[in-house]
Amino acid sequence: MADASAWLLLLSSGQHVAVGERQMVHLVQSPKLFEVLDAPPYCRQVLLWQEELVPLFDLAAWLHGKPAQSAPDTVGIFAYETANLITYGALPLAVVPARRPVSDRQACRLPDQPVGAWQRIAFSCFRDGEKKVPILDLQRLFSDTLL
Amino acid sequence: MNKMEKAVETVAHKVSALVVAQIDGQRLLLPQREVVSLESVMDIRQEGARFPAAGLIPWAGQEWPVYCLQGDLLAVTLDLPPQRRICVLLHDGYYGLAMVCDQVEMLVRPPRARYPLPPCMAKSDSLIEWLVVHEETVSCVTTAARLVAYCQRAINQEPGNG
Repeated sequence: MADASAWLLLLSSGQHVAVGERQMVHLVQSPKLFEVLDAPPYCRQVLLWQEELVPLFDLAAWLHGKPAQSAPDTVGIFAYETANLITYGALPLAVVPARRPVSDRQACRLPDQPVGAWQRIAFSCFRDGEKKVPILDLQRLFSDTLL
Repeated sequence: MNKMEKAVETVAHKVSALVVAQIDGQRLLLPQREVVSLESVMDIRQEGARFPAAGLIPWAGQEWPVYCLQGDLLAVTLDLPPQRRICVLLHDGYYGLAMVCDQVEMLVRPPRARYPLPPCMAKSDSLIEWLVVHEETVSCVTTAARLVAYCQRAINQEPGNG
């Protein structure tokens, strides 16, 4: 992790996570969401954004084995690359994200809890004050590997 | 392949005609080319049916398994609620089955676009084949093959089947 800038995201569970500066592309307030039948409980809605169909992944629900919240006030849309294509995914957010400078000196271990979860979805972790902030691997998060 | 081509088929002729099946307030779209007949639920007999089929219906000299989905989650059930009035017979050339619905209608205007399920939602035996955008709404499309796999999955979820 060299010196860089990241977006700090607060999940509904109170956990902070981060994504790269260029990965957050849009914030949607009171999004219009559509249910997808037979979808995983933590990812059962999509939104239409600029002719893209974007899955809404409730990370707090996945981490804690709960159903996704049905009507989040704020949703962030994030871009990531798969096979040289830009793809989009969405995360419900508790507050508007904040940008933070991040350096190698802040690197720390991923949170221990839930056991094994962060290793599946995060590249690495940094400390922001007292908080441990995992940096999300969006390509992995929105792939089929968590099904 | 550019970004738009990868996921969206916006050309109307690529989105085949669809039929809307309503079940307990849920809309499930079916390819019209797979719908071979609409029959009355009065013709269904429940004797001899084996789970996950809720009954059997005779058509074209064969007994077709009848599946019944129920509730917000479209759970497979053996009960045939009174609001199920229509039995849709589906055949894709390989799989044949019937599904009971509250209401069935044609989708009058073709969908604006269709999308594959996002990878993070795409279970291998998912009920849903495609998502389509129709009049600013996103709807779920299934197929005969998907329905068979979905209903068979219910067997594994039965108590005692692990």
